[in-house]
Amino acid sequence: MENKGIKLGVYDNVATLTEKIQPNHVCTVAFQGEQVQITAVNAIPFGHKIAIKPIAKGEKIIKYNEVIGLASQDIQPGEHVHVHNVQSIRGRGDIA
Amino acid sequence: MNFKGYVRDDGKVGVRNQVVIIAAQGAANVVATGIASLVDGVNVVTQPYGRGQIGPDDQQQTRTLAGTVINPNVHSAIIVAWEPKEAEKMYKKIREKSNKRVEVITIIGQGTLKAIEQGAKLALDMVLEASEQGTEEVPIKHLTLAVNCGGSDTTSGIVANPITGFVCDRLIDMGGIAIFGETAEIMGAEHILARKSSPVVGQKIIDSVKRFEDYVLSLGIDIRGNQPKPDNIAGGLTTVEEKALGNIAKAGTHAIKDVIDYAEIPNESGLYHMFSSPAGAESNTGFNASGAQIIIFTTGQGNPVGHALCPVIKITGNPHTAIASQDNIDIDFSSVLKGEKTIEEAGQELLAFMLRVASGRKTRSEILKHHEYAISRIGWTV
Repeated sequence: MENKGIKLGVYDNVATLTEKIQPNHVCTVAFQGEQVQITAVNAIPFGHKIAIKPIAKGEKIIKYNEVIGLASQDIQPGEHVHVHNVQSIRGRGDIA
Repeated sequence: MNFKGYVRDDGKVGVRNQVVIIAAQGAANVVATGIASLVDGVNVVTQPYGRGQIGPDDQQQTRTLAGTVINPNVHSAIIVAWEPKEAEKMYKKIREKSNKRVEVITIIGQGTLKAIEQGAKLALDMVLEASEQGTEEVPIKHLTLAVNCGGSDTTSGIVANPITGFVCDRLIDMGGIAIFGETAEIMGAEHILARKSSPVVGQKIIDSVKRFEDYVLSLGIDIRGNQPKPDNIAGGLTTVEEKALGNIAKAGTHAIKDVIDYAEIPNESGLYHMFSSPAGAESNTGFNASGAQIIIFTTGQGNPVGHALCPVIKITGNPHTAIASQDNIDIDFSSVLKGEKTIEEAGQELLAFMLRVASGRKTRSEILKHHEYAISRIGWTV
């Protein structure tokens, strides 16, 4: 099955998978006529995000061209991007 | 565009023709359900509060109960209370906006069983009256639509919410009202809503979100684990900001006309944000009490929540949920995720479906009796 990733904004560094993907399998991310192929580093479930650029610890995670959080560790292209490596900025009473 | 509705004396139009038995106090729930068990064709609304509430919390409780009855889907209603004062408050609030038939019965001085008998006789008469009213063809501008989401996942922001936003846009273009809420769940996207609205309304939106965020910060709590919720995280949503950016798509592209209070009834055509809890039962209850005759509710993971009285149209963009929760989902839009259909095509389909529901087509939440009803509390009982 062909794996596709949906990219929603030109500055996005993550894409959303429309099928689950296994490690070393390739997903195609199309955006505004351009296609990029990304090899998955981990198994990533349906609907979850895959990094499409290298993201350094502390860097912003961008989706919809907007900030959805900060990387809590370095993230390589093809890695699963989720709660294990991204932190919310908002509503953080624990660090206020 | 038109639908067939029940035209009320005040010119408002119902999409249902309900005779409602509503408990103004928790202690009246048994009588309300007792009446409904004897009389066919009534809708019952029960709720646990209405005793010892004060100030804004009391006002919100009364305003919401009254709004539930004022809603044009309701033909007539019986308020049940154990003591008369609570019922009178509600009755007066209804009379500020509506002259529909409303009866009050109390349990004090006669007990549960006689109150059920008294209510059943009234309900019998009301159902006969309601059954005489037919529908008329009216323009879509008579609709107040509320849009809500629950059990969101990443498909919500990409598929189901933008489709719903298309319907909001078209409805407002044709003179209707659209309401969205879930104030805490626009945290991280409020700048986008503020940017497209007037400076005054934009500031109201930012301040509304800040009230929720300041509350979280004041408790010293990490919002993660509650926002996003466990089902959101399982569905791929990582942060409240990501959830919010998907959430706001369901309100469409119009500027926000105003921020309204929970269960406040807007009058002019346009898009409104209702200051409200993100929990589905609470927000649906506030929306219906704000005059919404129909709710479109998007879900990623299959949240089944409905409303005691309001038809709730449930849609998803998640192909797995469309199968697993087939009995809850009115329309499966996963074809949009697969690229087989555009947002606009799906939006036209949803708009047409909404008009069918407005004309009497039942939704799955109605048939499965997802009759949730919960009024948000904003204070202590004293």
